Amino acid sequence: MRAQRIVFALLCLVAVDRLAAQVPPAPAPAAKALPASGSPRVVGWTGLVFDIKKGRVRIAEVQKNSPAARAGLREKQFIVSIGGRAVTGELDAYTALFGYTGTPVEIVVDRDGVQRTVTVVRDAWRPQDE
Amino acid sequence: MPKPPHPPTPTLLLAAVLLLAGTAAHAAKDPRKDTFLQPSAGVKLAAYHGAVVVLEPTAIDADKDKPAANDEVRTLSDQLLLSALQESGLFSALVSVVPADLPAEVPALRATTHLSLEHGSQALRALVGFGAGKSRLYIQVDFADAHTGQPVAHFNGYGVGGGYMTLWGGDVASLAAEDLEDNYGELTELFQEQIEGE
Repeated sequence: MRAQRIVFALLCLVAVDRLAAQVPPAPAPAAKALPASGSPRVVGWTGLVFDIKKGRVRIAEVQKNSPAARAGLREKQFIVSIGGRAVTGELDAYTALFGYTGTPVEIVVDRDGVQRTVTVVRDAWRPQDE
Repeated sequence: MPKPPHPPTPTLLLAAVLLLAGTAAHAAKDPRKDTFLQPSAGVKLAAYHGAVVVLEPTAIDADKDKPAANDEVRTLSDQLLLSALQESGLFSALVSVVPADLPAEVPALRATTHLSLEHGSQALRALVGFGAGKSRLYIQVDFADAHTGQPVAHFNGYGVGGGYMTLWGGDVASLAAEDLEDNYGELTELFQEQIEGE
C-alpha cells in the first residue's frame, strides 16, 4: 500500500512536469507605455494657406492631397473661426491651426454668407519636395 | 577750322578718380547694404528644417513724424515675411507664440525683425528722379532657438526705393513693399541653400 502511494506520487510529479513543458513560456513583461505627455509628437499639417481679403482671413490655397482638401475646404472661403477661436489675421489663423498629427481641428468657414463647420485631421508635415 | 578737343586737366581727372574711389570704398564699407544669411558659429541650419517658427512683430526705426507710413511698412513686413516663410515650405508651422505643449525635441525658431527706414523725399523722387530723394530700407532678421534663446542665424537685407524715375515719386510703403518682398524671398532661398550645402 505504501509502495502504491509512492508510485502514484511519482506519476503525478511526472505528469506535472510534462504539462509544464507544454505550457509556453510566460511572455516578457510589456514595455511600459509612455505617458501621454512624454509620447513623441509630430507637428501637424493641414495644407491651408491664408491671405487677407476685405479685412478678413481667407483661404488662398488648399494644397493638393492635404487634410484640408480631403475635408472639403476650398479656396476663397472666409475663415470665421479655428478651433473655436475667432481669427483676425493670417498669423493668428496659422497659430490657431497649430497642433499635432492625428488631432482634429474644427474650422468654421463662410462662403456667400453661408457658414459651415468642417473638421480637419492633421497629417504629419513633410518637406514640400518629398 | 574745327577747334581741337580740350583735354581734361590732370586736376579734374584726379578729382574724378578720387570721387569714384571714395564712393566705391564707402559703399563697400557699409555692411548694412549687403544681403546675406550668416548662421551662428557651430550651428547647422539643417537641424531647423521643419521647425516651428515663432514670428515676432516687426520693429521699425524711422522718421517719427510719419507714423502712418511707418505702420504700413511694419504691417507689410509682417505679412511678407509670413508669406515668404509659408511659401518656402521649409518650416512645419508658423505661430505668434511658442505653443505651451511644444516638446523640447521639436525644433523651434524665434524670428525677430528690425527695420530701419529712411523715407527720403517723394517730391524729389517725383520732380527730379534719377536717385534724388530715394528711400532706403535696412532689414535685419535674427533667428534664435525658441527653446534655448541661443542665436541661430542672422539675415541682413537692403533696399533702395526710387533710384530711377517713378510715377509721382512712389510712396514709401509701395517702394518698401518691393524691397521687403525681394529680401524675404532672398532670405528663404539662402536658408534653403545653406541647408542643402551642410
